[in-house]
Amino acid sequence: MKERYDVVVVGAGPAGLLAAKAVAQNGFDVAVIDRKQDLSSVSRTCGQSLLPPNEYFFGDIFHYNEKDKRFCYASTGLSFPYTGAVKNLYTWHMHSPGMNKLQFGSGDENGAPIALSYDKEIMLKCLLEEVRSNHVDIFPETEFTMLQPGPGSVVVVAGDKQFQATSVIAADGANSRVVEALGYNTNRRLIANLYVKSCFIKGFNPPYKNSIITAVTFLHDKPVYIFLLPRPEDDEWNFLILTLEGSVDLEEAYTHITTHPNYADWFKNAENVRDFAAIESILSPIIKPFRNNVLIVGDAGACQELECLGAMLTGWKGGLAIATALKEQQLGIPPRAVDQYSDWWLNTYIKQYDYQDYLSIFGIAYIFSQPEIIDYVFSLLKEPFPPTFNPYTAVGLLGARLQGVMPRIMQERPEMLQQLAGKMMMFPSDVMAETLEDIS
Amino acid sequence: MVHINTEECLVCGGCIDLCPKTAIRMIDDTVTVDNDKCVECMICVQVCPVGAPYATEGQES
Repeated sequence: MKERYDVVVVGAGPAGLLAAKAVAQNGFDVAVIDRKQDLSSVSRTCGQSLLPPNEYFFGDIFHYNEKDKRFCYASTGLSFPYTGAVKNLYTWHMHSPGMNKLQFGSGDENGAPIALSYDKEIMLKCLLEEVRSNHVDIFPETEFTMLQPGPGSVVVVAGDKQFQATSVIAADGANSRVVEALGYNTNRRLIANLYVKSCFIKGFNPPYKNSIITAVTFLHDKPVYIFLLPRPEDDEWNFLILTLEGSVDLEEAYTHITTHPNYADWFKNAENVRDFAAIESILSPIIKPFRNNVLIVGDAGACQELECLGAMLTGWKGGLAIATALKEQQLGIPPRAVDQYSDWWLNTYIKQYDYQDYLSIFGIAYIFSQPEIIDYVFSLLKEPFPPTFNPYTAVGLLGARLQGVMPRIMQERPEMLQQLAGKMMMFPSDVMAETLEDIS
Repeated sequence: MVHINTEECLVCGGCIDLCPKTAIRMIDDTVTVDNDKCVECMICVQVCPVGAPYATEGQES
């Protein structure tokens, strides 16, 4: 027997839950399905930091309302309770393989933070409570299998369950099954797979307080990225190891990093308290997010998996668009809500935050290609940059500063400039594709 | 046959997402391979960040 709903949301992450909330609080019947049993437990790697509360991001200004303990988007009016702890982060220290450092922010803790460390499991608990109070039906352990589009409705098959809905919202993340089932991926370019291992650590000896610490290192000549983010409580840190290289053994990388002379002192008393992992297919973004009565939100249609804030905003806006579309149908008036969402998706979510810029952050090691060159370039950019942890802003700042030091590079390292020139004119995705051979 | 070493598996779900035959599922928050659907393409073995999936020869009862 089919369960009937106005809307079925696939995926009970931040984007899916906010989409469900937006539809349900307009009085429609909503089901959320997810393959996990314990929906608030996080087993996949996540940076668990929200960025950036010090500038517009995806057309809105995100902030933590401490008085009422809520996460708020000032312009859209979206807000929801978050009862966990937060920690403000003020500076981003980015290290080259030889430990030359770029710094975003001066370390001044009186200004606005560049990121907010939070606890994603508490946020998911709060969001689940929120959507339950909006009478959303939640189906854990219900894994999406396939879609059967029909005229004016869609059947979602999930194992032995079937749901009939007027519309479906796909919020099932970077490797979205719904997107695959709809055939979107045949027109998307697979740029790379990102492999991640991470853990929460206690006893970390941080070189900087209330900061985000990142580094690039090489293991058997392959680039490996290190991210260290403070957790909101208990002096814990979130330690992430990322690589685009399928041949890198992440266990070996863990040992390499924690015993490497550059970082060993940081880790000498560190104790691993919880493990996570992730694989993400980095695909070019989806341009038109609505097909066969299915609306794509969040990471399901984007290339970048970095911004929980953006994912939540698209979930919320997508949910509102579907609720409005259902009202349009009821009233018999010409539809426009889904088109408006699609315009916002394309012009703000996709175009203003170009995935090539996002890839530049992971592309540093590929564009500059050798540890020695990265060290040299970082040594020319020692002066602190304005405070940001926004990758798009950071790439712009880096690019502008790099232009300024070109004459010096030309003078000091003409041979290197020649080598770089070609790559710096290319899209980061092309540089990566040229270097990475193990994309499956 | 492909199996998942549940001691190693961190249940990140990456192999579930990337399996071209939808042969890997999460049951009771444990990652499980349906060897009737599995075609032994070994993508899961290749992509797992912690090396949890492994292959064994031939059919098992």
